[in-house]
Amino acid sequence: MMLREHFSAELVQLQVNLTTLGELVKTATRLAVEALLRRDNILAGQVIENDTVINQLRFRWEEQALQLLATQNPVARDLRVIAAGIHIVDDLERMGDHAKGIARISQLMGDNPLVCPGLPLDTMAQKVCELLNLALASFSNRDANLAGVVGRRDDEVDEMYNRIAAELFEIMFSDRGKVGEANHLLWAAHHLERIADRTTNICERVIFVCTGQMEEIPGMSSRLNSHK
Amino acid sequence: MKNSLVEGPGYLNQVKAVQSWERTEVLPVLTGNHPKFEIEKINFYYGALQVLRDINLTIPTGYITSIIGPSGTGKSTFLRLLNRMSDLTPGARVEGSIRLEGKDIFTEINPVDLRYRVGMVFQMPNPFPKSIYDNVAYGPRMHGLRDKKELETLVEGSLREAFLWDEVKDNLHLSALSLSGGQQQRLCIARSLAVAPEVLLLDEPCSALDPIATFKIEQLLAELAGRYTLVIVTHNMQQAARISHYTGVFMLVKDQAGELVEFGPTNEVFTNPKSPTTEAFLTGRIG
Repeated sequence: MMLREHFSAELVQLQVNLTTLGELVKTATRLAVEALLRRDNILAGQVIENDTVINQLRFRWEEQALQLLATQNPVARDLRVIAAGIHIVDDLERMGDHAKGIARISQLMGDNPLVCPGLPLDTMAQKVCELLNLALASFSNRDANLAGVVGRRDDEVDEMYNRIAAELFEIMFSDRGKVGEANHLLWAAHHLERIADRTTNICERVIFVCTGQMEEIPGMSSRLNSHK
Repeated sequence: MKNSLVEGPGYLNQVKAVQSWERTEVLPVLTGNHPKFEIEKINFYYGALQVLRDINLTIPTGYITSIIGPSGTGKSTFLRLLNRMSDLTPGARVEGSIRLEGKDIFTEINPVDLRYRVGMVFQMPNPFPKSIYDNVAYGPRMHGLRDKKELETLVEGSLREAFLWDEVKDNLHLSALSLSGGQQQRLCIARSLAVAPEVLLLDEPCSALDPIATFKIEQLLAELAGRYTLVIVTHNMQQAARISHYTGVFMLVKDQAGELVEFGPTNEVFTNPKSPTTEAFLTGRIG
């Protein structure tokens, strides 16, 4: 006889729900960037509208987690999963806000075609979504190694952001007429960069679930400093 | 737009998954929500001493309802009323009504039938000093079942339902008293199930058991929910929290008579109780 079968089933369901929430955030991110680059403000509007679903689900998740805490006395790893999950859904909700932010930017840019085309924002978005995907997989598979690797890959996103920012500054300096749009695109890139940062937070929580250790995954700048 | 957030097939699948969240409720999905017991304005006295005051409560069919509260608030008295165990207590007097499936248990159902439909399991495992087999077969025999084959099927079925079969199937004719405490308690549950009751009343069924035996009983009760209506009195708040779907809280409010200060879905009672008295009790500030 498996003891506490019902609790185990509910805990599994909670983890599945977290992954589902992550999938929604990933979709929102991908589509927000797609809307921005394709100048599709109907799609942007849908991303904005659907952010309320993400927000509601985050609260629903927390409520279920609190009910398990209050009624089931989880200990050890079960406790860590729930405690980490409460932080992770918070990160996911904020990532959803960043995706919404990108969609808002698209709407602010009106219906005009892009005057600074060719920026690798779509590649950056792909990278961000890939890392989020891997972070969620590391959570479902309890894979601390994967979480560590993914967390450190935030550097790749930072590099892309720096390149895009440099390119946009170049455009702003060379053509004053493009300053408005370049500024908007810079903000969009910044949103993506923040989403990746929060992916690193998720990875840190996954490591906590697996090992019980609360540690920050060092970013590139602190790794460089430690070599000095 | 083909790839829109609303129309994309991938997104739709996600939304479907999200909708399934609603099914992760702790409450099992049961058809209808009709009451098993309707308890109205129950006042109970031992002589001049009032021990229960104005208890109004509806116990839903097929769920586990737990009754918690400090000692001396009338929880066990209340439970014993549900199959009229207090009838023979000298000086006991009850006012108000308790209906089982719409029929008053004091005036419309005779006590033998009532106890046939409403079984009881006590704090201390109390198997008869007979074999394991005879313990389970006792009730059905009393009700006139003589056919050996039928009895065997019923005994096996009841022991399986109580998660005890695998542990005792080779020793059915050993004395029930040779079993461990946890096994004895599951045997008592099997004995109750053998007469196919609608309701099982459990008065502190785990308080004499170790944690593993306790988890086994809890798991068993979770399996029985749905098919049976279970009402459990427990001092162990966490046990009520873990296994029950609904929780009632008994407290002393003005004097020595227990009152029901809160009743609701267990999740709500334990995360956001409505009554400040419940909150104080659950958080260990009174009791």
